Amino acid sequence: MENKKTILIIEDERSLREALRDKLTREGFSTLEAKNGEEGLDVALREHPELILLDIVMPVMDGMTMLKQLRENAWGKNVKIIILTNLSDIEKIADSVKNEVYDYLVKTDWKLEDVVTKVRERLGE
Amino acid sequence: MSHISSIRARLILLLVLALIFLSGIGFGSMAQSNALIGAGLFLIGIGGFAIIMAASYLIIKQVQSLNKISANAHAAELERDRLQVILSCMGEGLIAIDADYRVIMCNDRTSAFLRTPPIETIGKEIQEVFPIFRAGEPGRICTKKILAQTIQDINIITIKLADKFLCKNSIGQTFPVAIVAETLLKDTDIIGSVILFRDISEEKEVDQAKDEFVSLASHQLRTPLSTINWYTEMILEGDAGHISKKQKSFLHEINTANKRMTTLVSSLLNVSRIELGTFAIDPKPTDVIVLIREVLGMLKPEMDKHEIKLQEQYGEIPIMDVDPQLMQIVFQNLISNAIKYSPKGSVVGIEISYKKQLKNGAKRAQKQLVIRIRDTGYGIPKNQQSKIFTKLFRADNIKSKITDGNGLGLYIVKSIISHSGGTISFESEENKGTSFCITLPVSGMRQKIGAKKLGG
Repeated sequence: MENKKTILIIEDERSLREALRDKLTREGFSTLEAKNGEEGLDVALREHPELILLDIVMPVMDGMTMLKQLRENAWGKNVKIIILTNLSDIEKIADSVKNEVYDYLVKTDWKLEDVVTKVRERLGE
Repeated sequence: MSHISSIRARLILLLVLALIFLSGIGFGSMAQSNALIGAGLFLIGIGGFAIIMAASYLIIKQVQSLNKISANAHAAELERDRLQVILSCMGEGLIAIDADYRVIMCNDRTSAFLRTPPIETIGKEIQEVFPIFRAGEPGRICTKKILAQTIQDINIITIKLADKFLCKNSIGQTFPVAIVAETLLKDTDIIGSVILFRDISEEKEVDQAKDEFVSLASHQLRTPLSTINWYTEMILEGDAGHISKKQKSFLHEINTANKRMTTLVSSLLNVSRIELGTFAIDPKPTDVIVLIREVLGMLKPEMDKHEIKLQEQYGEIPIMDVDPQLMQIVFQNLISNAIKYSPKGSVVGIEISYKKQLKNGAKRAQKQLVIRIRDTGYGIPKNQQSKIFTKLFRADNIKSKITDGNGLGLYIVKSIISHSGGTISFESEENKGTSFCITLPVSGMRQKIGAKKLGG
């Protein structure tokens, strides 16, 4: 059980965060949680998870700011990230992230099952 | 004429009076008689009196006529004042400049907006008194550049809220500005330009309130929708324990309603952006076939549910400049309509080709991207075909069959295609099917700078 992959979920909405946590745990992943970008950055740099699920619109520090700061870190530069969005965030992503291709998934349209598939895909499982 | 005749009357009067005066003197001296001298003196008196009367009459007349002239001048002045009052009562600032971009006239409102007295404005370069620039580019004053369009050519230019221009007044305050400038003509010569402008801070506030509402709607409405989406899914999957058949069917109902709400929220936001004209078209080199396959992938569950037989036919398509996000909305709407409005087991056909097609009015056939999406579904009744791109319209034959349509999809599709320089047409027969045809010029979609993107 030691080789469980760790996923950090950064999402301000409790219900969504817990849904993701429950599903991913059930699917055999180990999970970490954070309520905003600042907390997420802390946890990420301390725990070095294999993958980060990152919400965009969050209080304290939003996802894009967190992402920029994370990319400045030697470890954070290459960590796998899947962006969670509401459709309206897409323009924010396009504006802030240039020359970088991210996986992103639209929360209202995606089933949890699809999220899991995407996570596995990114982890190369 | 009346002036001339009055002069003549005055001359005659003078002559008569002079004769009376002279004859009085003549009579008096010839007769050497006291009585006659008395009479003569009397006549002289009368003559003198008459002369004084005449002189005063003439003076009065002269004064009166002088008064008349000044009354005319006064009327002209009144007229000018009235014009001034009208100009200064205008809500807009009005500036007239000559062909050398120097201010020749401005109204009071201009002074109020720019915080410069009119005397200090006249004769100055327009760029100096009326500096405007695009939001975010405060260093680039472009008043002259913009007005040049009305001075080098006969032209009207309009700058609106969405263009995001700001004006800086003499005390350093900036305000959002709307402008209309038009060439000033004398006969056929361009002699300058007239600029009408106003402070649109209020409109901007309203626009911001609307933006906030849209963002609230998209974020705050979608978050609970996501929650419902994921938790129903977990219960359906049995993550919270076994559920009965009945419970399962109820949950499916919740799920379907939730999906419908999700689509409705996206569509409403898109419509509000289309109507405001604020959506952007951002073409990027795109493989249209890859894009349509992605959409087909997304719609696979729907297709399986309706047992749709898919026929795909793709020609050799070069990489084209299209806005992938908008094109996705177009494909998604048309294909999901084809699926939704067809009975089980129908055929949905997708053809993409790149061919010469004679455009309406064009002499030579030009290469175009042609996308056809056809179905063998319910079709659109002939008498309602003219309305299908109308917002909120739903055809009678499907209104009762498929209740979860919102009548916004084709309106959005049509708006996107026409804004990007393409065409959309269709053929349909009831109970035989519908075929939509989209064409895009070889140059791809036309770029449109806008504040917001549409999201599917």
